[in-house]
Amino acid sequence: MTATKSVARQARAVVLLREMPTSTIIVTLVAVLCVVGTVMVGSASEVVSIETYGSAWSILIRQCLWLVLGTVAMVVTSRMDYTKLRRLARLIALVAFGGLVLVLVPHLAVQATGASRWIGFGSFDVQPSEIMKLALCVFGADVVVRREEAGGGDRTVIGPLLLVTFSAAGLVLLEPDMGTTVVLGCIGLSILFASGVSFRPILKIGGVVVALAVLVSLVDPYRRQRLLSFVDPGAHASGSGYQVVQSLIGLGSGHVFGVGLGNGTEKWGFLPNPHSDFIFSVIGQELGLVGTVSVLLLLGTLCWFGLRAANRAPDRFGGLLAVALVVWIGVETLINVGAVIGLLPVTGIPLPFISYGGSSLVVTMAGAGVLVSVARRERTAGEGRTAGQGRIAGEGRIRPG
Amino acid sequence: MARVVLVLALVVVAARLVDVQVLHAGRYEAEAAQETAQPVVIPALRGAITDRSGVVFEMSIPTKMVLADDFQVVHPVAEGRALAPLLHLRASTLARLLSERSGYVPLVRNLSVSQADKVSSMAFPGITMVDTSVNVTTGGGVASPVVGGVNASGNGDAGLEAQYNRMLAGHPGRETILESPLGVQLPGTPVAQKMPAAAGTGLELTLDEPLQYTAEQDLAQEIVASHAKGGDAIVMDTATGQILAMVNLVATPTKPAPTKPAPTNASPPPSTASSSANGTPVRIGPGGPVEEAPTNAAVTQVYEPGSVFKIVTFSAALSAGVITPRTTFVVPDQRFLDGSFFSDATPHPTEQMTATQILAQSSNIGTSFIAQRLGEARLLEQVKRLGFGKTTGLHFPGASPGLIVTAPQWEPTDYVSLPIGQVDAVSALQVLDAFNAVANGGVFVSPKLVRATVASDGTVRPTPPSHRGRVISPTVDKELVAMFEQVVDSGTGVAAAVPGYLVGGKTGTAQIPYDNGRSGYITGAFDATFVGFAPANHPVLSAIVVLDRPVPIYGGAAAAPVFSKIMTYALHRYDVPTSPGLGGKPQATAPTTLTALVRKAT
Repeated sequence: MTATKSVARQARAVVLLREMPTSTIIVTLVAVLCVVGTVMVGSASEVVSIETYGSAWSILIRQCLWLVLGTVAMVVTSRMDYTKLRRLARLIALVAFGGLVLVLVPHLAVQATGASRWIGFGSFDVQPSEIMKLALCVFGADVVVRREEAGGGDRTVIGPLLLVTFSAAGLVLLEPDMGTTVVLGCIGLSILFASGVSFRPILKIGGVVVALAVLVSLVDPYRRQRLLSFVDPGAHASGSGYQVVQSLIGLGSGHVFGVGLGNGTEKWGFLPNPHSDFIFSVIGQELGLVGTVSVLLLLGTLCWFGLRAANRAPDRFGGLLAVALVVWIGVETLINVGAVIGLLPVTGIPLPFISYGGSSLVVTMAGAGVLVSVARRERTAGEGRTAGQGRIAGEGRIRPG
Repeated sequence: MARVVLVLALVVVAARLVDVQVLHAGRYEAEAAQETAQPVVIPALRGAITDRSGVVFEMSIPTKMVLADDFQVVHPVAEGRALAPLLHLRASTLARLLSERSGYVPLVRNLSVSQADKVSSMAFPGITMVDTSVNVTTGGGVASPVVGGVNASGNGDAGLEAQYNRMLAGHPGRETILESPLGVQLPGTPVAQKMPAAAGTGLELTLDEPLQYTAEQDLAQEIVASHAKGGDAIVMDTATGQILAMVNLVATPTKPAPTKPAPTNASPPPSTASSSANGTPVRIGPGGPVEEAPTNAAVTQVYEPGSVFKIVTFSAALSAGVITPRTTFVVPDQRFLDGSFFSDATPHPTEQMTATQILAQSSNIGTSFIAQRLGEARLLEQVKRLGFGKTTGLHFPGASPGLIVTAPQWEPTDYVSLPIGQVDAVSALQVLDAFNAVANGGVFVSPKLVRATVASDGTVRPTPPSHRGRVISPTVDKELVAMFEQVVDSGTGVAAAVPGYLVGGKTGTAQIPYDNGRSGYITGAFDATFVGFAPANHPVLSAIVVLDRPVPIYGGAAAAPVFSKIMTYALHRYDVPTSPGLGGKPQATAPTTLTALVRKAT
């Protein structure tokens, strides 16, 4: 009896979820992630914050300010017709490229830990490579659709897309920022992949890219050290492998249920960047396996429904755009978590929506807003319901703060 | 396709998370615990040193060290103002300390526990406390050369504090706290592996504080009155060898800051001397004319004792049968021996003297005749038998065995020099030990300073009794006692007499050799000694008083009166029965041992 009942209830839930507007789900997931992220930034940053600013709250307050900005950005992008972005695509790309070049100008850039990735504006720094991610998503999808509409072959699509992707990735690599380079590369390739062009040239190019990446990694001592310490973190425990060792200690000591929110020991100076690059380790120590798997599931579900939005997108541009945005979020998650759990080299990529970092949060939320915008116009499965714009528009409203 | 990749990626990451957070969690947990664990030592309270009835000479008092984590202090000025009266610090100083931005600022090292409780009850942000202790000397440092001291790291650096350091120190406890790499204790973390500190075991000395104080005063007054450089005094329980008082004083080298302009010469102002002689207490310590000596010189320093050393010649000669107390000698007041000139202290015509008279008048020439009759070998053997040349058995830090002449070093002139105590260098305690053997019926008793140990739980463990051994036969001993009585009755030591009691003893006035490697003696510099026992009919106390460079120079003039004062107080304090036929109240009970008397007195 009860078994039958619960099965029936589950079935009803699946149907409900299938019928639930994708935009609502995405907004909800992003909201939950942002809340979790803010709480965890607060916990992970307190020690760094006291040391840097003299108050345990400084970094959290900054993150909250960024969250407000990000929310505004997300509201704007989600309520805007994403097709209008096509017209802005070249402008956005131009701005992003400009920023990337500016970063390389010695006196304008803010340097940190041997890399120059930021442009300073007063007390806030902007990371142009973050803007580039969104720009590449929009620009890439637009190029593909435009070339297809022009009726060219695969080559006319692959050529310009790879050119833009590689120039962006190359500029970022000069900062150097290996992680973002990989993210940009993945965004570009994913658009190509989703556009349905023949696999063969992509595989060839992919092989060349991977070979190039390995070569570049090993030539530069900064990257080589990071890569080698990833292969054997224990051997570099006091040097560059130190952060991975500390990250694993944090995760492992959290066990299944964690030591409790705020009780983590790693953030007390053992783990570097506990509130940004390694926040996932702090989550693991304070909230345990339950916390890490939950965050992982939240991000995975977001990607899942992002892909659903892509599938249900009303036009080709929207679909490609959604795929690119999902790959962006997904690859960033993988690279960040992979480094924290010691499966990938440490590259300094933030965990989307969770890590501290203004540019990253605002741009990622703007990207999520674009995804919502695509999802709002989804073609519902069966029953002839059309886009149902009015209903979704009402639910897509996000309150700042 | 994309969804398959997504799920696969999630599965791989989740698998790794399970691997790290579940399967190998124990290992990482251990590593986390290990990198934060910081062992902390909890200091143990030091055992106390008391006199024989529990009067404290030195003890440890638990205190708290007040620490500030100034990162947690938001309002240093306000908090400093609130803390200032509790910590007895200026508010401005505290405000500065509370804003150092170092995370670890010791504010007060030794705050009383009651005051610390007040501070902790007010829950100041960023203020923590750590157990500490402070070593306290009571009674203005009475007996401090014996008790010794404790250095800044809490270890005994001199005296009994050094000798018994391991026992007194106890065992520090241990605990483990969790700390960040910067040394900040992680909030809310438990203290692990707590092992409490075990307080040290205390010492109950044989010293009797009231007698110690009195002896210090008596000696100090004489040092002031005789312008001596310093002096020692020891009082001993004859039967047990227990030391009841052990005094080491030095005259303050620079003048104590007087209200009037300092006199131009180096000698103390006569007003001080006369007032001291009249019995006004002398301030002993900084600012006073006399200070406790830096070391227990009565044990650690040797000197040429002078005529008190005649005990060696007379005890050996009587034992060997070469003289009786009545054996007569024709004694001039000077003689040449092996090219050297010797004389008695005071000129006298050549006269017939008995051995008793030679001792009583402390004739150097007479004693040299007896020594020659005895011979070199028996003389040197007696030096050793009476305990000279080896440490006393106290095992006191820095105790000197003395420097005694051996057979190969013997010179003919030593027949005069050795018996009169101008060859061998010995400690004051060694001299007293030898006389105490005479007082004790010829049985040598090793001296003793520690009567019992007192464990932190209150268990009192008496120390084993002193080693004893006969060195003089009872018959000879009786003769010696009678001869030493004559010294006080009619000889050089009349000033040592104590009304109501028969006193035996010997004076000594010795030249002081140069200590800078130059041979010969310092012109006009003398050590004055009186050593003796009372009541001579049944000795229960023996004592020695030594003065360094007093004026008058003589043992009978400078040291004997101090002996008399100290002995008078001691005999009365312990209610020692007076000697028969010397007045005083008649004693129904037979003379008893001091141990019983002291118990009665304290």
